Amino acid sequence: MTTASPDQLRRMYEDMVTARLYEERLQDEYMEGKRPGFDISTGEIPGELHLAAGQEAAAVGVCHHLRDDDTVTAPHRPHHVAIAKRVDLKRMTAEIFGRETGLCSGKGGHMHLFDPDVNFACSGIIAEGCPPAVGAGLAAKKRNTDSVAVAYLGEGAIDQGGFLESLNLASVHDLPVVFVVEDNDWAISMPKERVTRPDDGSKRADGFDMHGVRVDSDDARAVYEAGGEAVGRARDGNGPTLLEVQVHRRMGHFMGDPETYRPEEDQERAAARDSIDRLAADMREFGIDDQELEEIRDRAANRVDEAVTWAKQQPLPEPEAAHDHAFTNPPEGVTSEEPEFADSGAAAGGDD
Amino acid sequence: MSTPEQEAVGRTATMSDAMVEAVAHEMRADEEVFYMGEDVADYGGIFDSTTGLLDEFGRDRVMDVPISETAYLGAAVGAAQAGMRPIAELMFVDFFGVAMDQIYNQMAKNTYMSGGSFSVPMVLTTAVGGTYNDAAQHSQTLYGTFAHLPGMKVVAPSTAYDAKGLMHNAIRDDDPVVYMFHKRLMGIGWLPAPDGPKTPVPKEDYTIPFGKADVKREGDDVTVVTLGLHVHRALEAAEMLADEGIETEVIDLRTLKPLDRETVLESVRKTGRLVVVDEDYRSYGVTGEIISSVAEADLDSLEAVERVAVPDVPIPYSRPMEDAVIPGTDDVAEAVRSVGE
Amino acid sequence: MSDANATDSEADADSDGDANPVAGAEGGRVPVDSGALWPGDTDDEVGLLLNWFVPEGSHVAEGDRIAEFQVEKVDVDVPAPATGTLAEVVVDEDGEFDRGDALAYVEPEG
Repeated sequence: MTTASPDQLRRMYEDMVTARLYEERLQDEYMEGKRPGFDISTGEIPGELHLAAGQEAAAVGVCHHLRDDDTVTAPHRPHHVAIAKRVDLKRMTAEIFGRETGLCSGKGGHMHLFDPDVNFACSGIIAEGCPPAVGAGLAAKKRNTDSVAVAYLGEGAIDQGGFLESLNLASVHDLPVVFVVEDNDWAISMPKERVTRPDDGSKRADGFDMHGVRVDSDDARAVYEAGGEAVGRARDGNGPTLLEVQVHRRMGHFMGDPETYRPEEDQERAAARDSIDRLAADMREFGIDDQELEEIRDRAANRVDEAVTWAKQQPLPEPEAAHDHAFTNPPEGVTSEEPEFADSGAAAGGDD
Repeated sequence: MSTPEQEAVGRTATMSDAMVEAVAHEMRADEEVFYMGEDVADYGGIFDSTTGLLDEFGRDRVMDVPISETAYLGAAVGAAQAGMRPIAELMFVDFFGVAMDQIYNQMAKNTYMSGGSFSVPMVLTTAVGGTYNDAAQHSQTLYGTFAHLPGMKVVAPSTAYDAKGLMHNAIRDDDPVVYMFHKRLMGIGWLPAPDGPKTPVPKEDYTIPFGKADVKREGDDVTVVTLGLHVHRALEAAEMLADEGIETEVIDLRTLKPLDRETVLESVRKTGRLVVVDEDYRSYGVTGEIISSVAEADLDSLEAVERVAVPDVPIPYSRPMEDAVIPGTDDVAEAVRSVGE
Repeated sequence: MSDANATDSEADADSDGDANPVAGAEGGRVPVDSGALWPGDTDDEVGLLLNWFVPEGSHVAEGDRIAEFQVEKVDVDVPAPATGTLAEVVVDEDGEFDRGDALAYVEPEG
């Protein structure tokens, strides 16, 4: 059992607060240039923006067991996971603002963040980060290293073939993979019970003869314990785990989602179940006082502010840069010339 | 943009209104028609493709489905083969990857493979297009990809009037129809449309046959062939060019399969100059198909040719780069000038 | 609460065209009142007119959807307040207006 130490609680709290403040800041930044007409394609941050406020516990509870050489794939709602995986916050922010010095030179945007330094990647297509995570686990096993791979997905994604096939492949090869399902109850406008059986997604594991666990409370300490067991199992070569975590969606599916489909009571209930407040209360019991909590929050706020300020000072890419990066350039290991053989007939596979 | 007959109807509608009106009409007329997709019930479609349908028809006929495109698109194929007339929505065309087998190996081929003993009377609706910085996995049109594969009809309306008539035709058609609606044309509050797609729309039902392009603007100097959002960009360019003394004919293909080569050819025989504008990738796509069709049928009619399309890279996120790869009004105008020289 | 701007509005609606608070009956014409349609749960006091579906001068029936506007991220359908003629469109497409402004006037029949 990996119980979080007071220091670990501090670290989790700091990342969770950072992630929350980050999303709240992006929410404001996103609306810049979008009033009174809300036009998704205008403003400093254009395009869709999927914010993760309320899902921080699932990110830190697992990622804080990971090293830089462990792989994480995240879906279209990746910021909190990226922060917990120690993705460079400044360059990630610059990417979200579409800047040249962003993580992906402005090519990817907020749904497609890639940071090779900490082995972090995304897919904006539901559940499609799962197979690449299995591949990272496969590579670790083949090379006999003890690194692990974690795939994040939402509860709506567990109905997708790419996820189910990945469970089987990971299980049949005993791969060091942890699938983390963030259950925020809603697949955009579709409540879980309308589209998914069973209600407890971790039971999907049963059919693939692998470990399945659900953390039924939005509690960073509980996720940390379950995450420690799952990551430890993978690292020790004992195979994959499916871990489902109850989280809460405090904002719309994407910025611009009027959430008219969502009962007000559900929004209020989600807002009332704040994993950050919960963790703070636990920390006080460990003797971490309000002043220290405030210092942590100030540090997080400064970090967010620094990242956003830096990002907005960065240059936009040149239009012509759109043509770069379709392929690895320059390519290695290939030639641009065809060899000439003395016996050209044989090389050409002619008649013998 | 609209004919006097269309103007006479008095009221205008957005493209999404027009589509929904046709779907509702067909659902009232035929119990076998139903709609399924992600977020099509309470949300009314992320791009307003099903607004209000849940209220009128209920959850049995306006179905939210799991995020399982392989399962529900394939289920639409099966229901269609059983004689129903499903409409199944793929939220973004980019998501076709997770379900392509059901689309191109089942939906598109079962009629042929069965020697015509089965039909697949379904409509696959899907949102296409960029121009709002949603990056490589949410911005494609993939017009050419779908039109390339045999066995499905492919339509892409550019106005509300066309959207309604094509939707009626699509639902009544006994074959699978891929109905590609451009997000930027729907008239969604948070993704404003250009002037143009909102047109007068008759309240009664009417069909627009497949395989009939529409000349959206007549001109003698240069033919511009395009579809979807770029109809409006081409019309805007034509307006600019008219001030320079260049008369541009703008042809809206409306359907990619069947393809109305005749209308294109007729226009090129008049102008001798052809510009094809496409929001899809440049190579192996619509632009190449149109130009080779003309060249094959009447090479001598062609004096000059140019294509304007997305260069062969995925759609980048950041605004300056996306603006660079998706053809703009100026790009169209420039191409028209260059073939006119 | 609402209608804070209803007091300073003596029906001098043509002054500059961008502030047209609904000020009661105007020669029998019925205002299309944005305030009555304002969505709950919004902080914004400014709306954006997205679409008119009928041109000025056309006949409308009470309840017909004649326009739509947006506040924050919510789209609002605008029904005709009476049967008659859409006599005057006050806020054009893409125009901004304050909560409570009249969007148009309908001249009722008979």
